[in-house]
Amino acid sequence: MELTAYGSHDGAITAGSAVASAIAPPSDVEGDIVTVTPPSMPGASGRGLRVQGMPWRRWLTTTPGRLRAASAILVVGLLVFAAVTTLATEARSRAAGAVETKSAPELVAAENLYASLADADATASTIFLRAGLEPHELRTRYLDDVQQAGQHLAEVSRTLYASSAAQGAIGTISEQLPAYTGLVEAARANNAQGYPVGAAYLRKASTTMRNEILPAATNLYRDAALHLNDNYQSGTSSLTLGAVVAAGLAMLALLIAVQVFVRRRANRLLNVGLVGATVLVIGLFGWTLVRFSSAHDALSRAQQRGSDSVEVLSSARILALRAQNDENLALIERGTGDVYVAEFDRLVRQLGGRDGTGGLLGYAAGLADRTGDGTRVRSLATPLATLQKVHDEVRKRDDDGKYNEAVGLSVGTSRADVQSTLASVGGAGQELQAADRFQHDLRADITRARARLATAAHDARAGFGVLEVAVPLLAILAGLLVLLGLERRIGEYR
Amino acid sequence: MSRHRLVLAALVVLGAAACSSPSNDAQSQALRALIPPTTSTTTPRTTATPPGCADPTQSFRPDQPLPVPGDMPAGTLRAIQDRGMLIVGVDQGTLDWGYRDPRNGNIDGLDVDLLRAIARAIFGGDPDAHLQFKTLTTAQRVSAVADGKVDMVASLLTATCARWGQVDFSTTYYDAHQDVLVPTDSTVTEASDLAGKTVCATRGSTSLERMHALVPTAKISPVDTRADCLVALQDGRVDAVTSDDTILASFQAQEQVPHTRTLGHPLSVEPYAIAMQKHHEDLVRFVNAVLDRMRADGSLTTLYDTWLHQNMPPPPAVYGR
Repeated sequence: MELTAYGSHDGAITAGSAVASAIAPPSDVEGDIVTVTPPSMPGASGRGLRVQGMPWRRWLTTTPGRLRAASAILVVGLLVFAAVTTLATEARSRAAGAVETKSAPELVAAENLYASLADADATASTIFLRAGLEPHELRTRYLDDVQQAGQHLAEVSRTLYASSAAQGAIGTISEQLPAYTGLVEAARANNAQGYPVGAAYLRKASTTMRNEILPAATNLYRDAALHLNDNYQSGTSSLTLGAVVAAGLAMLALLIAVQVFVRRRANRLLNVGLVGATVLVIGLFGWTLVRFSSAHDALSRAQQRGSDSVEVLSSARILALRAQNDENLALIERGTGDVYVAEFDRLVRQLGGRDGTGGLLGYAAGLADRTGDGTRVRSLATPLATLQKVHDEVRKRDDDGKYNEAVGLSVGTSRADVQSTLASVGGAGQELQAADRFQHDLRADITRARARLATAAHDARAGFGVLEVAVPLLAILAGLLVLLGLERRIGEYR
Repeated sequence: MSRHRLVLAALVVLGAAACSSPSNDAQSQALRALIPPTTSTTTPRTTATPPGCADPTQSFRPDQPLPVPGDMPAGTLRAIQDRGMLIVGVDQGTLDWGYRDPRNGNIDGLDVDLLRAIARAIFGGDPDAHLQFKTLTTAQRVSAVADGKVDMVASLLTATCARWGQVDFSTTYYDAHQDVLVPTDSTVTEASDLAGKTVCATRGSTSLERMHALVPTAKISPVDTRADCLVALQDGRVDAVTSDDTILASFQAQEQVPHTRTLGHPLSVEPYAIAMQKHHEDLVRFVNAVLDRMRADGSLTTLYDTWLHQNMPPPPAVYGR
């Protein structure tokens, strides 16, 4: 082992050097005048504390006294090193654990919450548009959506940090969702009677959803995304790393300085105890750095290969659901829904850009290239293009006054005449099918990204547990080795 | 292990931590996509009462017999026939007048049947093949005609002098009255009892303006669509609804269990007429001729009977413009 550390003025170990020079004054003469003043206990000398038959100040200038002091400083140093490393490890472990067990599930739950709510609303308006006997599968889909929204809301409430903004949003949704379903049921009862006021109830329900519930769900989703980001930040914080590096280097400097001192005083090349302690500290230090670095890598992977894609694709999913509902509302408003048509066009442009390959999906494809999923994500342009094509056809028919055909093409119909007319262009309900297809493909890509996020988040956390136990144990062991090693040297002076 | 190398390793790790602290680009892209753009609201146009309008029920007299369907004279009618489609504004929420039947999705009602009669007179054959419905809120009715978004509106629309400033009207096809609908157990018996009460009325309706003038202390709760007032009354959010007796009757017909009554004191006369764009008097005269024929052959009376279960003569046509 090379022991050139002593006396070095390398900036990184100034703290260590200072302590080393304090316990090993640059004099070779034994029994020198007191050069060490204990930094604390100023009143101790007054009380005349005596060690081994001499005042402690005097005792401290003897070799056994210095060795004892050195061993005390090393033990305290090890305690500090262990404490700093434990705290830093715990902070990082907590952040990585929060990514895996809180933020990532929370992001998923918030996105699913939004999707269930938006799909419930779109399905309710689809049922209304179809008119006539309520198709069983659509009614089931609506009920499932509402039930799942309730479940996802419970998940979000469980995991979401108690930020007041999130609580407000959760409160809004839990308050308004029953109101919403009540309005939908009132609409349904009136529709069954043939009363047109059912449409007013449905409109009120949809307004509640669009103006109250979905904005709150968007806030929850945003909160979850920001929390995830916070945890990435604290999981890779340079503060914790810097603390560990500083504590580790200082500890090593101390150990080396003491060994130099011991070597000079005792003319022994190596002190087994001190060497053992040094090896342990180096090992622990290295282990911590390696763990930090691999957790850092895993978190970067979680973000770059997982959550980045999850977030962008989830936003795309939300936009697509909004567009679908806009299409329904445009048809329900029958000729005066221009604002919804314009919003549909805007949303689709935002999704796919001008040609269906740019926009949010183009961006998502760029992200997916990191994991080789680029082609999959790019293929989303196909169902989006189909959706756009059917939409254009729906609008054309509506503008040409073929309202029933427009509705039939969009959401399906039970009218035999419309069905036979649409048979030549591929059948009824094409827009709903295209939208479902797009959602389906999008969901598959989100699921893949989500799995990568979960795996990487797990990797980031795994291994911290052993380290957290090892740090205090190895530090205690190093302390014992220090005491053992120096005690033998001290023993030689008795 | 070299200390220098250790320091170097530590610095590398530190540097890596500093450089690759997570970028927010994907997240900000994802979150920004969810923020809707701000929309501007349009200001309502101001209306001025045109000079020389003493009687809003006065319309343009037909100047020739009705042409054969499918053979319209040059002008507005010809343009509509060539287009193959009569674009009309209706309501889809007022039972028996203009409503969408939720059981089959069809638009139906007295107003709609009137428009069908006009379409039949222009095109012949099945009128539904030549009718394009646009549903309008109460406040959109006059502006949709004035802006030429629709050829005509039949949607329980009262002819008033103020509206004559923006559009032309046909002769009157029904005389309605403004009334008030309250829950059966309400203490309100007169319009004046509504002082301090919350009253629902539709934006852009004559009823809203008149209630405001009659009982200034009544708190008006305005809605965009007539049926929204029924929802508000059923929810108990308002004490009363003021509207035409026709509309209030359509509300009562939609009650699962009857629990409302009208005051039964007409607050006004509301002559319903079909609105058309200004400077298309040929179309107005044609529509008046169709209405005259319906008055004469009893088909207008049949419409009252079919939709309103009322047996009464239609109001007479008033000409002189």
